[in-house]
Amino acid sequence: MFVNQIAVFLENKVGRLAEVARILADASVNIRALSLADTSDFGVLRLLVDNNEKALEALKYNGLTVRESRVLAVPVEDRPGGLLKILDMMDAASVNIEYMYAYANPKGGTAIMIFRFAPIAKAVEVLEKNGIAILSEQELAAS
Amino acid sequence: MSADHLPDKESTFAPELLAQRQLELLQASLNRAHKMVPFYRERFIENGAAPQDVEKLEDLARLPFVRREDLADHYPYGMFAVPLRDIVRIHTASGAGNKPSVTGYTKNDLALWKSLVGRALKAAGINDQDIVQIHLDPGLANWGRDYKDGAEALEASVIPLTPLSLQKQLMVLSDYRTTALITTPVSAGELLESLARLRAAPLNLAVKNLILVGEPAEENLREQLEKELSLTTWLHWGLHEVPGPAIAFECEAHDGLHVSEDSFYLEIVDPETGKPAKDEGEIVLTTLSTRAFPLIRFRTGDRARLVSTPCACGRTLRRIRWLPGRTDGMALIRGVKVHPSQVLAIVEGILGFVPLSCKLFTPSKEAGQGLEVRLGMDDRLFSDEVKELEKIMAGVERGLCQELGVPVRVRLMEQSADVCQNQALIKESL
Repeated sequence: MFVNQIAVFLENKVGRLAEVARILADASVNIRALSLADTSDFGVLRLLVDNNEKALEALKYNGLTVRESRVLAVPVEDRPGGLLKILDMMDAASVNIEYMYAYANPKGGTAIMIFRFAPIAKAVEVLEKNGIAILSEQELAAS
Repeated sequence: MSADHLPDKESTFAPELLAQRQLELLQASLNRAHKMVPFYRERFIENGAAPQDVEKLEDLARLPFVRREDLADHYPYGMFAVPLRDIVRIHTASGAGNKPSVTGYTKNDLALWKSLVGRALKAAGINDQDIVQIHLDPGLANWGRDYKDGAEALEASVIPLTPLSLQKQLMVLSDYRTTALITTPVSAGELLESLARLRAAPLNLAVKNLILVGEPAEENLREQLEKELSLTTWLHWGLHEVPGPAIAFECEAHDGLHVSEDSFYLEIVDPETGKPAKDEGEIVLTTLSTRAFPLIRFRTGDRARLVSTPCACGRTLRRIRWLPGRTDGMALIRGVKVHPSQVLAIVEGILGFVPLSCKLFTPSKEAGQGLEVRLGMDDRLFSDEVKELEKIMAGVERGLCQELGVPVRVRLMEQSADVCQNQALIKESL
Protein backbone atom coordinates (compact mmCIF):
# COMPACT_ATOMS: atom_id res chain seq x y z
CA MET A 1 0.00 0.00 0.00
CA PHE A 2 2.79 2.39 0.88
CA VAL A 3 5.33 3.62 -1.58
CA ASN A 4 8.90 4.01 -0.40
CA GLN A 5 10.35 7.35 -1.27
CA ILE A 6 14.00 8.30 -1.02
CA ALA A 7 14.94 11.65 0.50
CA VAL A 8 18.41 13.08 -0.05
CA PHE A 9 20.03 15.91 1.89
CA LEU A 10 21.72 18.47 -0.34
CA GLU A 11 23.54 21.68 0.35
CA ASN A 12 22.02 24.56 -1.54
CA LYS A 13 24.79 25.09 -4.04
CA VAL A 14 25.43 24.83 -7.72
CA GLY A 15 25.61 21.37 -9.23
CA ARG A 16 24.29 19.30 -6.32
CA LEU A 17 21.10 18.23 -8.08
CA ALA A 18 23.04 17.37 -11.22
CA GLU A 19 25.39 15.32 -9.07
CA VAL A 20 22.49 13.23 -7.75
CA ALA A 21 21.14 12.79 -11.27
CA ARG A 22 24.57 11.66 -12.42
CA ILE A 23 24.98 9.17 -9.56
CA LEU A 24 21.56 7.66 -10.34
CA ALA A 25 22.21 7.60 -14.08
CA ASP A 26 25.53 5.82 -13.52
CA ALA A 27 23.70 3.26 -11.40
CA SER A 28 21.08 2.84 -14.16
CA VAL A 29 18.33 4.03 -11.86
CA ASN A 30 15.36 5.77 -13.44
CA ILE A 31 13.74 8.71 -11.64
CA ARG A 32 9.95 8.50 -11.83
CA ALA A 33 9.07 11.59 -9.80
CA LEU A 34 10.83 14.14 -7.67
CA SER A 35 10.24 17.14 -5.53
CA LEU A 36 12.80 19.52 -4.11
CA ALA A 37 12.19 21.52 -0.95
CA ASP A 38 14.75 24.22 -0.49
CA THR A 39 15.87 26.71 2.13
CA SER A 40 18.62 29.28 1.82
CA ASP A 41 21.18 26.79 3.11
CA PHE A 42 20.04 23.34 2.14
CA GLY A 43 17.49 21.34 0.23
CA VAL A 44 15.70 18.04 0.66
CA LEU A 45 15.28 16.13 -2.57
CA ARG A 46 12.54 13.49 -2.57
CA LEU A 47 12.64 10.86 -5.23
CA LEU A 48 10.58 7.97 -6.49
CA VAL A 49 12.79 5.69 -8.52
CA ASP A 50 12.47 2.32 -10.21
CA ASN A 51 15.00 0.63 -7.94
CA ASN A 52 15.32 1.87 -4.39
CA GLU A 53 17.99 -0.59 -3.38
CA LYS A 54 20.35 0.38 -6.17
CA ALA A 55 19.63 4.08 -5.71
CA LEU A 56 20.27 4.02 -1.94
CA GLU A 57 23.47 2.09 -2.36
CA ALA A 58 24.81 4.45 -5.01
CA LEU A 59 23.85 7.62 -3.13
CA LYS A 60 25.29 6.39 0.16
CA TYR A 61 28.44 5.24 -1.57
CA ASN A 62 28.86 8.80 -2.78
CA GLY A 63 28.64 10.15 0.76
CA LEU A 64 25.11 11.49 0.62
CA THR A 65 22.75 11.26 3.56
CA VAL A 66 19.59 9.46 2.50
CA ARG A 67 16.44 8.21 4.13
CA GLU A 68 13.57 6.05 2.98
CA SER A 69 10.12 7.12 4.04
CA ARG A 70 6.62 5.97 3.32
CA VAL A 71 4.30 8.05 1.18
CA LEU A 72 0.97 7.36 -0.48
CA ALA A 73 0.43 7.33 -4.25
CA VAL A 74 -3.13 8.29 -5.00
CA PRO A 75 -4.78 8.55 -8.44
CA VAL A 76 -6.53 11.86 -8.71
CA GLU A 77 -9.29 12.45 -11.25
CA ASP A 78 -7.90 14.52 -14.10
CA ARG A 79 -10.61 17.18 -14.07
CA PRO A 80 -11.36 20.42 -12.19
CA GLY A 81 -11.87 19.69 -8.52
CA GLY A 82 -10.13 16.33 -8.70
CA LEU A 83 -7.44 17.27 -6.19
CA LEU A 84 -9.82 19.31 -4.08
CA LYS A 85 -11.90 16.21 -3.40
CA ILE A 86 -8.96 14.51 -1.71
CA LEU A 87 -7.88 17.63 0.15
CA ASP A 88 -11.37 18.20 1.54
CA MET A 89 -11.49 14.65 2.86
CA MET A 90 -8.22 15.13 4.69
CA ASP A 91 -9.22 18.51 5.96
CA ALA A 92 -12.41 17.07 7.43
CA ALA A 93 -10.38 14.34 9.13
CA SER A 94 -7.72 16.79 10.37
CA VAL A 95 -5.00 15.05 8.42
CA ASN A 96 -2.12 17.32 7.58
CA ILE A 97 -0.24 17.26 4.29
CA GLU A 98 3.47 17.74 4.94
CA TYR A 99 4.18 17.90 1.23
CA MET A 100 2.97 16.49 -2.07
CA TYR A 101 4.11 16.24 -5.64
CA ALA A 102 2.94 14.88 -8.96
CA TYR A 103 3.92 11.64 -10.60
CA ALA A 104 4.22 11.28 -14.35
CA ASN A 105 1.31 9.27 -15.70
CA PRO A 106 1.68 9.02 -19.46
CA LYS A 107 -1.42 6.84 -19.77
CA GLY A 108 -3.66 9.73 -18.85
CA GLY A 109 -7.11 9.61 -17.35
CA THR A 110 -5.91 10.30 -13.89
CA ALA A 111 -3.04 12.26 -12.47
CA ILE A 112 -1.05 10.53 -9.77
CA MET A 113 -0.18 12.59 -6.76
CA ILE A 114 2.34 11.61 -4.12
CA PHE A 115 1.30 12.71 -0.64
CA ARG A 116 3.16 12.86 2.61
CA PHE A 117 0.29 12.84 5.09
CA ALA A 118 0.52 13.15 8.84
CA PRO A 119 -0.71 10.97 10.40
CA ILE A 120 -0.36 8.56 7.53
CA ALA A 121 -2.48 5.76 9.03
CA LYS A 122 -5.45 8.02 9.37
CA ALA A 123 -5.04 9.20 5.77
CA VAL A 124 -5.19 5.59 4.61
CA GLU A 125 -8.37 5.09 6.59
CA VAL A 126 -9.96 8.19 5.06
CA LEU A 127 -9.02 7.24 1.52
CA GLU A 128 -10.30 3.68 1.90
CA LYS A 129 -13.53 4.83 3.48
CA ASN A 130 -14.09 7.14 0.53
CA GLY A 131 -13.26 4.46 -2.01
CA ILE A 132 -10.15 6.22 -3.29
CA ALA A 133 -7.48 3.91 -4.67
CA ILE A 134 -4.01 3.84 -3.21
CA LEU A 135 -1.42 2.55 -5.61
CA SER A 136 1.12 -0.04 -4.59
CA GLU A 137 4.71 0.17 -5.74
CA GLN A 138 3.96 -2.44 -8.41
CA GLU A 139 0.92 -0.54 -9.66
CA LEU A 140 2.90 2.68 -9.68
CA ALA A 141 5.74 1.11 -11.59
CA ALA A 142 3.29 -0.32 -14.11
CA SER A 143 1.54 2.99 -14.69
CA MET B 1 48.85 65.73 31.40
CA SER B 2 45.75 66.23 33.46
CA ALA B 3 45.59 65.20 37.09
CA ASP B 4 43.09 62.52 36.11
CA HIS B 5 45.80 60.60 34.36
CA LEU B 6 48.21 60.66 37.27
CA PRO B 7 49.21 57.14 38.24
CA ASP B 8 48.71 55.92 41.79
CA LYS B 9 51.65 55.24 44.08
CA GLU B 10 51.62 51.48 43.52
CA SER B 11 51.94 51.99 39.77
CA THR B 12 55.21 53.85 40.12
CA PHE B 13 57.12 51.71 42.62
CA ALA B 14 60.79 51.26 41.87
CA PRO B 15 61.30 47.79 40.39
CA GLU B 16 63.14 46.50 43.47
CA LEU B 17 60.37 47.65 45.78
CA LEU B 18 57.72 46.15 43.53
CA ALA B 19 59.62 42.85 43.42
CA GLN B 20 59.94 42.82 47.20
CA ARG B 21 56.20 43.42 47.61
CA GLN B 22 55.40 40.77 45.00
CA LEU B 23 57.53 38.20 46.79
CA GLU B 24 55.86 38.86 50.14
CA LEU B 25 52.39 38.61 48.63
CA LEU B 26 53.33 35.55 46.59
CA GLN B 27 54.64 33.65 49.59
CA ALA B 28 51.52 34.42 51.57
CA SER B 29 49.32 33.39 48.64
CA LEU B 30 51.22 30.13 48.08
CA ASN B 31 50.91 29.30 51.76
CA ARG B 32 47.18 29.89 51.71
CA ALA B 33 46.71 27.85 48.55
CA HIS B 34 48.80 25.03 49.97
CA LYS B 35 46.83 25.01 53.20
CA MET B 36 43.32 25.50 51.85
CA VAL B 37 43.18 23.98 48.35
CA PRO B 38 43.87 20.22 48.11
CA PHE B 39 44.50 20.59 44.37
CA TYR B 40 47.43 22.90 44.95
CA ARG B 41 48.73 20.89 47.90
CA GLU B 42 48.81 17.74 45.78
CA ARG B 43 50.47 19.60 42.92
CA PHE B 44 53.16 20.91 45.23
CA ILE B 45 53.80 17.44 46.62
CA GLU B 46 53.91 15.87 43.16
CA ASN B 47 56.54 18.37 42.13
CA GLY B 48 58.52 18.08 45.30
CA ALA B 49 58.08 21.76 45.98
CA ALA B 50 56.73 23.42 49.09
CA PRO B 51 55.65 27.07 49.37
CA GLN B 52 58.67 27.78 51.55
CA ASP B 53 60.95 26.71 48.68
CA VAL B 54 59.94 29.84 46.82
CA GLU B 55 62.56 32.19 48.18
CA LYS B 56 62.68 34.50 45.21
CA LEU B 57 60.22 35.30 42.45
CA GLU B 58 62.10 33.20 39.89
CA ASP B 59 61.56 30.12 42.07
CA LEU B 60 57.90 30.20 41.12
CA ALA B 61 58.90 28.62 37.80
CA ARG B 62 59.49 25.37 39.72
CA LEU B 63 55.76 25.03 40.28
CA PRO B 64 53.54 23.49 37.63
CA PHE B 65 51.06 25.40 35.49
CA VAL B 66 47.34 25.54 36.13
CA ARG B 67 45.05 25.17 33.11
CA ARG B 68 41.40 25.77 32.40
CA GLU B 69 40.83 22.02 32.47
CA ASP B 70 41.98 22.01 36.10
CA LEU B 71 39.34 24.58 36.96
CA ALA B 72 36.65 22.50 35.22
CA ASP B 73 37.84 19.37 37.05
CA HIS B 74 37.27 21.08 40.39
CA TYR B 75 33.82 22.42 39.63
CA PRO B 76 32.23 24.12 41.40
CA TYR B 77 34.07 25.07 44.60
CA GLY B 78 37.19 22.88 44.52
CA MET B 79 39.57 25.77 43.87
CA PHE B 80 38.23 28.07 46.57
CA ALA B 81 40.74 28.94 49.26
CA VAL B 82 38.29 30.31 51.81
CA PRO B 83 35.20 28.79 53.41
CA LEU B 84 31.98 29.53 51.54
CA ARG B 85 30.73 31.72 54.37
CA ASP B 86 33.49 34.19 53.49
CA ILE B 87 32.45 34.30 49.83
CA VAL B 88 30.22 37.21 48.95
CA ARG B 89 29.96 36.74 45.20
CA ILE B 90 30.13 33.78 42.83
CA HIS B 91 30.82 34.19 39.12
CA THR B 92 30.53 31.63 36.36
CA ALA B 93 32.61 31.77 33.20
CA SER B 94 32.68 29.45 30.22
CA GLY B 95 35.08 26.60 30.80
CA ALA B 96 37.04 24.08 28.85
CA GLY B 97 34.52 21.26 28.83
CA ASN B 98 31.20 20.21 30.25
CA LYS B 99 31.69 22.31 33.34
CA PRO B 100 32.10 26.06 33.56
CA SER B 101 34.73 27.79 35.65
CA VAL B 102 33.32 29.03 38.92
CA THR B 103 35.13 31.75 40.81
CA GLY B 104 34.39 33.37 44.13
CA TYR B 105 35.17 36.69 45.75
CA THR B 106 35.52 37.64 49.36
CA LYS B 107 34.43 41.09 50.43
CA ASN B 108 38.05 42.21 50.24
CA ASP B 109 38.45 40.66 46.79
CA LEU B 110 35.53 42.71 45.52
CA ALA B 111 37.08 45.86 46.94
CA LEU B 112 40.38 44.95 45.31
CA TRP B 113 38.76 44.40 41.93
CA LYS B 114 36.87 47.60 42.23
CA SER B 115 40.12 49.45 42.76
CA LEU B 116 41.94 47.61 39.95
CA VAL B 117 39.21 48.31 37.42
CA GLY B 118 38.94 51.85 38.74
CA ARG B 119 42.67 52.31 38.26
CA ALA B 120 42.46 51.15 34.64
CA LEU B 121 39.52 53.46 33.92
CA LYS B 122 41.27 56.34 35.65
CA ALA B 123 44.26 55.86 33.37
CA ALA B 124 41.84 56.48 30.50
CA GLY B 125 40.88 59.77 32.08
CA ILE B 126 37.52 58.62 33.43
CA ASN B 127 36.39 60.54 36.50
CA ASP B 128 33.30 61.60 38.45
CA GLN B 129 32.21 63.85 35.59
CA ASP B 130 31.78 60.92 33.23
CA ILE B 131 28.70 59.05 32.14
CA VAL B 132 29.92 55.51 31.56
CA GLN B 133 27.91 53.12 29.41
CA ILE B 134 28.63 49.39 29.37
CA HIS B 135 27.67 47.49 26.23
CA LEU B 136 28.77 43.83 26.20
CA ASP B 137 27.34 40.52 25.01
CA PRO B 138 25.59 38.44 27.71
CA GLY B 139 28.61 36.11 27.71
CA LEU B 140 30.61 38.96 29.25
CA ALA B 141 28.07 39.76 31.96
CA ASN B 142 30.66 39.21 34.73
CA TRP B 143 32.85 41.88 33.25
CA GLY B 144 29.83 44.15 33.01
CA ARG B 145 29.47 43.91 36.79
CA ASP B 146 33.18 44.48 37.38
CA TYR B 147 33.24 47.54 35.14
CA LYS B 148 30.15 48.91 36.83
CA ASP B 149 31.88 48.53 40.21
CA GLY B 150 35.11 50.07 38.94
CA ALA B 151 33.39 53.07 37.36
CA GLU B 152 31.26 53.59 40.45
CA ALA B 153 34.44 53.61 42.53
CA LEU B 154 35.46 56.66 40.49
CA GLU B 155 32.02 58.10 41.21
CA ALA B 156 31.17 58.23 37.54
CA SER B 157 27.51 57.88 36.53
CA VAL B 158 27.17 54.32 35.27
CA ILE B 159 24.68 52.91 32.78
CA PRO B 160 25.20 49.21 33.58
CA LEU B 161 25.10 46.31 31.18
CA THR B 162 21.54 45.88 29.94
CA PRO B 163 20.44 43.61 27.15
CA LEU B 164 19.34 46.21 24.61
CA SER B 165 19.18 46.09 20.85
CA LEU B 166 21.86 47.94 18.94
CA GLN B 167 19.37 50.68 18.10
CA LYS B 168 18.43 51.15 21.76
CA GLN B 169 22.09 51.22 22.77
CA LEU B 170 22.62 53.97 20.21
CA MET B 171 19.63 55.86 21.51
CA VAL B 172 20.99 55.72 25.07
CA LEU B 173 24.47 56.59 23.82
CA SER B 174 23.16 59.69 22.14
CA ASP B 175 20.29 60.84 24.38
CA TYR B 176 21.98 60.21 27.73
CA ARG B 177 25.12 62.03 26.58
CA THR B 178 27.38 59.10 27.37
CA THR B 179 31.00 60.25 27.63
CA ALA B 180 32.73 56.88 28.04
CA LEU B 181 31.73 53.62 26.41
CA ILE B 182 33.00 50.19 27.43
CA THR B 183 32.52 47.54 24.74
CA THR B 184 34.23 44.95 22.56
CA PRO B 185 35.94 45.86 19.27
CA VAL B 186 33.27 43.86 17.39
CA SER B 187 30.44 45.78 19.03
CA ALA B 188 32.24 49.09 18.52
CA GLY B 189 32.53 48.26 14.82
CA GLU B 190 28.81 47.50 14.70
CA LEU B 191 27.96 50.79 16.38
CA LEU B 192 30.12 52.61 13.88
CA GLU B 193 28.34 50.89 11.01
CA SER B 194 24.93 51.71 12.41
CA LEU B 195 25.98 55.32 12.82
CA ALA B 196 27.12 55.43 9.22
CA ARG B 197 23.69 54.25 8.14
CA LEU B 198 22.10 57.14 10.03
CA ARG B 199 23.48 59.71 7.64
CA ALA B 200 20.07 61.27 7.23
CA ALA B 201 19.87 62.24 10.88
CA PRO B 202 23.39 61.92 12.30
CA LEU B 203 23.58 61.42 16.04
CA ASN B 204 25.55 63.91 18.01
CA LEU B 205 27.60 61.77 20.36
CA ALA B 206 29.38 63.04 23.44
CA VAL B 207 31.63 59.98 23.77
CA LYS B 208 35.23 61.00 24.44
CA ASN B 209 36.67 57.70 25.54
CA LEU B 210 36.07 54.23 24.19
CA ILE B 211 37.35 51.34 26.30
CA LEU B 212 37.85 48.25 24.13
CA VAL B 213 37.80 44.90 25.91
CA GLY B 214 37.63 41.17 25.23
CA GLU B 215 39.84 40.85 22.19
CA PRO B 216 42.87 42.60 20.69
CA ALA B 217 41.59 45.52 18.63
CA GLU B 218 42.96 45.85 15.15
CA GLU B 219 44.93 49.00 14.60
CA ASN B 220 42.91 50.11 11.57
CA LEU B 221 39.61 49.69 13.44
CA ARG B 222 40.94 51.84 16.27
CA GLU B 223 42.08 54.51 13.85
CA GLN B 224 38.72 54.47 12.11
CA LEU B 225 36.82 54.72 15.40
CA GLU B 226 39.01 57.56 16.65
CA LYS B 227 38.80 59.50 13.41
CA GLU B 228 35.12 59.10 12.67
CA LEU B 229 33.86 59.49 16.22
CA SER B 230 36.47 61.99 17.45
CA LEU B 231 37.35 60.01 20.55
CA THR B 232 40.25 58.17 22.14
CA THR B 233 40.35 54.37 22.32
CA TRP B 234 41.86 52.45 25.23
CA LEU B 235 42.54 48.75 25.18
CA HIS B 236 42.08 46.58 28.28
CA TRP B 237 43.13 42.99 28.78
CA GLY B 238 41.59 40.72 31.37
CA LEU B 239 40.49 37.23 32.22
CA HIS B 240 37.16 35.52 32.68
CA GLU B 241 38.48 33.17 35.33
CA VAL B 242 40.46 35.16 37.80
CA PRO B 243 37.62 37.48 38.23
CA GLY B 244 38.44 40.34 36.18
CA PRO B 245 38.70 42.61 33.26
CA ALA B 246 41.32 45.34 33.14
CA ILE B 247 44.21 43.33 34.59
CA ALA B 248 46.26 45.19 31.99
CA PHE B 249 45.36 48.60 30.63
CA GLU B 250 46.58 51.35 28.37
CA CYS B 251 47.83 54.68 29.65
CA GLU B 252 47.90 57.92 27.70
CA ALA B 253 51.10 56.82 25.96
CA HIS B 254 49.08 54.08 24.20
CA ASP B 255 52.21 52.01 23.88
CA GLY B 256 51.29 48.61 25.28
CA LEU B 257 49.18 47.65 28.28
CA HIS B 258 50.44 48.09 31.86
CA VAL B 259 49.91 44.95 33.92
CA SER B 260 48.75 45.55 37.50
CA GLU B 261 51.83 43.80 38.81
CA ASP B 262 51.12 44.82 42.37
CA SER B 263 48.31 42.22 42.27
CA PHE B 264 49.62 39.79 39.65
CA TYR B 265 52.88 38.13 38.85
CA LEU B 266 53.36 38.10 35.09
CA GLU B 267 55.23 35.52 33.03
CA ILE B 268 55.38 35.19 29.26
CA VAL B 269 56.19 31.60 28.37
CA ASP B 270 56.82 29.63 25.23
CA PRO B 271 53.55 27.72 24.82
CA GLU B 272 55.40 24.64 23.58
CA THR B 273 58.11 24.29 26.20
CA GLY B 274 56.65 26.28 29.09
CA LYS B 275 60.02 28.03 29.43
CA PRO B 276 60.26 31.83 29.55
CA ALA B 277 59.65 33.16 26.05
CA LYS B 278 62.40 35.16 24.41
CA ASP B 279 60.09 37.44 22.52
CA GLU B 280 56.41 36.67 22.34
CA GLY B 281 54.54 33.90 24.07
CA GLU B 282 51.62 32.97 26.27
CA ILE B 283 50.60 35.09 29.22
CA VAL B 284 50.86 33.17 32.49
CA LEU B 285 49.45 34.88 35.56
CA THR B 286 49.73 34.28 39.26
CA THR B 287 47.39 36.15 41.55
CA LEU B 288 49.08 37.87 44.47
CA SER B 289 46.21 39.52 46.32
CA THR B 290 42.98 37.62 45.69
CA ARG B 291 41.91 35.57 48.71
CA ALA B 292 39.01 33.46 47.53
CA PHE B 293 40.42 32.19 44.28
CA PRO B 294 44.21 32.09 44.07
CA LEU B 295 45.60 31.10 40.71
CA ILE B 296 49.16 29.91 40.52
CA ARG B 297 50.82 30.05 37.12
CA PHE B 298 47.57 30.09 35.20
CA ARG B 299 47.94 29.48 31.46
CA THR B 300 45.70 32.16 29.99
CA GLY B 301 45.90 31.08 26.35
CA ASP B 302 46.38 34.73 25.35
CA ARG B 303 49.44 35.76 23.40
CA ALA B 304 51.57 38.79 24.15
CA ARG B 305 55.01 40.32 23.90
CA LEU B 306 56.74 42.28 26.64
CA VAL B 307 57.46 45.93 26.00
CA SER B 308 60.76 46.57 27.73
CA THR B 309 61.29 50.30 27.28
CA PRO B 310 60.23 52.61 30.15
CA CYS B 311 56.85 54.24 29.66
CA ALA B 312 56.43 57.98 29.20
CA CYS B 313 53.56 58.01 31.71
CA GLY B 314 55.85 57.29 34.65
CA ARG B 315 54.27 53.96 35.61
CA THR B 316 56.81 51.27 36.32
CA LEU B 317 54.30 48.45 35.81
CA ARG B 318 55.58 46.41 32.90
CA ARG B 319 53.69 46.55 29.63
CA ILE B 320 52.55 43.87 27.23
CA ARG B 321 51.55 44.10 23.62
CA TRP B 322 48.45 41.92 23.26
CA LEU B 323 48.73 39.80 20.11
CA PRO B 324 45.92 38.22 18.13
CA GLY B 325 45.44 34.46 18.16
CA ARG B 326 45.51 32.00 21.02
CA THR B 327 47.76 29.24 22.27
CA ASP B 328 44.86 27.01 23.36
CA GLY B 329 41.99 25.58 21.37
CA MET B 330 39.57 28.28 22.44
CA ALA B 331 37.85 30.62 20.06
CA LEU B 332 37.25 34.24 20.92
CA ILE B 333 33.71 35.11 19.86
CA ARG B 334 32.88 38.76 20.37
CA GLY B 335 35.23 38.81 23.34
CA VAL B 336 33.72 35.66 24.85
CA LYS B 337 35.94 32.59 25.15
CA VAL B 338 34.36 29.50 23.67
CA HIS B 339 35.93 26.09 23.93
CA PRO B 340 35.13 23.60 21.14
CA SER B 341 34.62 20.75 23.60
CA GLN B 342 32.14 22.89 25.50
CA VAL B 343 30.18 23.50 22.29
CA LEU B 344 30.22 19.80 21.48
CA ALA B 345 28.98 18.95 24.97
CA ILE B 346 26.08 21.38 24.63
CA VAL B 347 25.21 20.10 21.15
CA GLU B 348 25.27 16.54 22.46
CA GLY B 349 23.00 17.56 25.30
CA ILE B 350 20.48 19.01 22.87
CA LEU B 351 20.55 16.29 20.22
CA GLY B 352 21.01 13.38 22.61
CA PHE B 353 24.00 12.13 20.63
CA VAL B 354 27.34 13.36 19.36
CA PRO B 355 27.02 14.48 15.75
CA LEU B 356 29.37 12.91 13.22
CA SER B 357 30.92 16.25 12.50
CA CYS B 358 30.56 19.62 14.10
CA LYS B 359 32.81 22.40 12.88
CA LEU B 360 33.07 25.79 14.48
CA PHE B 361 33.69 28.93 12.54
CA THR B 362 34.70 32.13 14.20
CA PRO B 363 32.90 35.26 13.06
CA SER B 364 34.05 36.91 9.90
CA LYS B 365 34.57 40.64 9.71
CA GLU B 366 30.91 41.07 8.92
CA ALA B 367 29.12 42.77 11.74
CA GLY B 368 26.45 41.09 13.77
CA GLN B 369 27.79 37.63 13.32
CA GLY B 370 28.53 35.30 16.17
CA LEU B 371 29.69 31.74 16.26
CA GLU B 372 28.85 29.62 13.24
CA VAL B 373 28.33 25.92 13.92
CA ARG B 374 28.23 23.58 10.94
CA LEU B 375 26.66 20.24 11.67
CA GLY B 376 27.41 17.46 9.26
CA MET B 377 24.20 15.74 8.19
CA ASP B 378 23.86 12.15 9.23
CA ASP B 379 21.16 9.50 9.43
CA ARG B 380 20.17 10.46 12.96
CA LEU B 381 19.58 14.09 12.06
CA PHE B 382 18.05 13.73 8.65
CA SER B 383 14.36 13.97 7.89
CA ASP B 384 12.47 14.19 4.63
CA GLU B 385 10.62 17.16 6.12
CA VAL B 386 12.29 20.56 5.99
CA LYS B 387 10.43 21.72 9.07
CA GLU B 388 11.98 18.93 11.15
CA LEU B 389 15.44 19.97 10.02
CA GLU B 390 14.70 23.59 10.77
CA LYS B 391 13.47 22.58 14.21
CA ILE B 392 16.83 20.92 14.90
CA MET B 393 18.72 24.01 13.73
CA ALA B 394 16.62 26.34 15.85
CA GLY B 395 16.92 24.10 18.92
CA VAL B 396 20.70 23.90 18.72
CA GLU B 397 20.96 27.63 18.04
CA ARG B 398 18.80 28.50 21.02
CA GLY B 399 20.62 26.12 23.35
CA LEU B 400 24.09 27.30 22.38
CA CYS B 401 23.12 30.94 22.46
CA GLN B 402 21.74 30.57 25.98
CA GLU B 403 24.78 28.73 27.26
CA LEU B 404 27.48 30.77 25.56
CA GLY B 405 25.95 34.23 25.67
CA VAL B 406 26.88 35.06 22.09
CA PRO B 407 24.84 34.90 18.89
CA VAL B 408 25.03 31.48 17.24
CA ARG B 409 24.11 30.37 13.75
CA VAL B 410 23.73 26.69 12.97
CA ARG B 411 24.06 25.39 9.44
CA LEU B 412 23.42 21.89 8.19
CA MET B 413 26.04 20.64 5.80
CA GLU B 414 26.45 17.58 3.63
CA GLN B 415 28.55 14.92 5.22
CA SER B 416 31.25 14.79 2.60
CA ALA B 417 32.80 11.41 1.96
CA ASP B 418 36.32 12.52 2.85
CA VAL B 419 35.46 13.81 6.32
CA CYS B 420 37.02 11.53 8.85
CA GLN B 421 34.35 10.12 11.09
CA ASN B 422 35.84 11.30 14.35
CA GLN B 423 33.95 13.28 16.89
CA ALA B 424 36.38 16.09 17.37
CA LEU B 425 35.69 19.68 16.58
CA ILE B 426 37.74 21.64 14.17
CA LYS B 427 38.09 25.36 14.58
CA GLU B 428 38.67 27.35 11.47
CA SER B 429 38.47 30.97 10.63
CA LEU B 430 36.29 32.11 7.81
